[in-house]
Amino acid sequence: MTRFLLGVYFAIAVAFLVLPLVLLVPISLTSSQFLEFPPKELSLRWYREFFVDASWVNATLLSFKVGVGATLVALVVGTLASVAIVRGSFPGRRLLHAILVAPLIIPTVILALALFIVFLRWKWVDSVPALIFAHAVVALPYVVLIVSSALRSFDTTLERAARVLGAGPVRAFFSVTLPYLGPSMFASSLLAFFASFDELIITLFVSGGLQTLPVRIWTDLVLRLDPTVAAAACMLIVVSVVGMAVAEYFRQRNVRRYGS
Amino acid sequence: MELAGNGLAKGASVVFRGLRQVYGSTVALEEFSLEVAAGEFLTLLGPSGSGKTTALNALAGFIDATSGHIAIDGVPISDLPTEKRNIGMVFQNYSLFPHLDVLDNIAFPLRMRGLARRPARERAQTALDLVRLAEYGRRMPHQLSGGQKQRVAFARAIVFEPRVLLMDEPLGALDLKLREAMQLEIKQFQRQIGCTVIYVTHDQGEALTLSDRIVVMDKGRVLQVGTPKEIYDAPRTRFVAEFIGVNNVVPVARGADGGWVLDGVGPVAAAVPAESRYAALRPEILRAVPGGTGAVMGTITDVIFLGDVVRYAARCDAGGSLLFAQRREPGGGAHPIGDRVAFDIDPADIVFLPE
Repeated sequence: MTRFLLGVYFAIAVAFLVLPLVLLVPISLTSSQFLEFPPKELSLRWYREFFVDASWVNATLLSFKVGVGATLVALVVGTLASVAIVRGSFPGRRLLHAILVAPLIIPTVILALALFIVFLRWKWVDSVPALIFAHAVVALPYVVLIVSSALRSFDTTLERAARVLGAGPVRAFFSVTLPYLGPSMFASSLLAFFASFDELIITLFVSGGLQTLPVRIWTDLVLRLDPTVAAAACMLIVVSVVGMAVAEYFRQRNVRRYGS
Repeated sequence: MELAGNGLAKGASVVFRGLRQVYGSTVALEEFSLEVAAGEFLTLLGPSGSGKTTALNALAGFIDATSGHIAIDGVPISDLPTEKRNIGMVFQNYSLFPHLDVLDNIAFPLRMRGLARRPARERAQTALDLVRLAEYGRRMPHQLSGGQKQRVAFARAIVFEPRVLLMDEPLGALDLKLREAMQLEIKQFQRQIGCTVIYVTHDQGEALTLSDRIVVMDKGRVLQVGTPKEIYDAPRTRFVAEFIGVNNVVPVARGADGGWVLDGVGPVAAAVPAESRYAALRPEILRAVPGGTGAVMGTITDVIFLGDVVRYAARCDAGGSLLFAQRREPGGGAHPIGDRVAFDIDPADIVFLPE
């Protein structure tokens, strides 16, 4: 009986999480002008619309550009910071960790406002590097959290083994520690990428005239609503599921190799 | 670049001089001085916290000793970083690199010394042949058994022909049968290669089997240095006697008549040094005569049948208990529990200990 009730609870919880996403698929496949469910007629019209409309394509390309840039910045800075936090013994290690993770906790509006004020002073609005920098701030916590916890569970005798076998400290890190961190870095860079890719509030504040995909969707929702939004959303879902699957594959492989 | 088998002693001598290591308020190593001869197999034996691993880590360069110095072949190495010391090392948990296959693991030290991947893998194959895992080069470490990992770790530690090889409880993670088989192999490998080996263990059987000399340590200090025979036959303290596996250590005192008495066993008619406090009775010096009579009598309380040898526990009439062993005659039986035996002990075989 308990088992049955738990099963029902599980089904409801999963439905609550997944159903809205699943409903997007038929909505995106409608041939009508409006968001409707269920669709009267199936068509790929809005998918075509997405690729034909230059503003959608440009927004997507910009989002990818900013996302990749922010991810690279977050990955390099976050990994180096994790090494310092986990391996170092300087005062203020915990404080540094807290500051790096803070963007995850601080309300985004506040962060956006702060970045906006600073960027305004530097005359740094309406620039792609500025947007990459702003997004890297939001992406950084994922890298720091995941990479530093992986680093903590790393068996440092592997590094000792590399050292005694002839590797200097830097070489030992690159040849032994980094391969171990690889899957964690990959997983965290996925999270970092999507943190940037779907970031709206900060982008609205600091992007000036630049239109990323979320901004494009946002303006669409404000001005006129058509099923292109649903089509864009469905494609995003596919991209994220594939990304997560790849990350999981590498994680499993690491568990096999380093486990026990 | 002949890997093995030319019979030349290629080991280096190692000298520790007054090494001292302090962690906060605990002294991990105190006045550690030791000379290891070239090509020697030396074991640091002691319980955990005895300082044996600290000494090894100082030699490998993982820690900077608080004071004292270390030299390999007369050259001080205290200022050299780990990677410049050219020391081979086998770790307790093998520490194979999980993302590299077996050959790349073994080739690692060669690659670090500037060899290209292909010649490095070729030489790694030679080392793999030595440890009789020739076919396993392309396996990943997680696909190997414990004993195989151990051999790969050994091959990786010797492939660059270090003159000193450190082994930190290398067999600790293996089961008993495999451990005994590996002991013989390690000894054999070392004879082939000729390098100096410093071996750390808390297993006295391992130490006795493998070593040219044993260093018994406790609480950061060296208690006794000697060949396995010297340590076993003539332990200098009660701790050494018990740690090396002498089971019967009993207090000695002067009896009422002024003669010496082994507490719980019986009087002893030997020239006992005046400052003696304990007597070590090695199992093999206790000759038990069933049905005999003598100064020390006992009753068998336990029989452990081991095939070639039978081990017994006996309770002496004076109250103490003694362990002894007897080689079994072909086809012969064992004394049953409850049998009366007389112990015939040659007083010259008893080792008296001042502490």
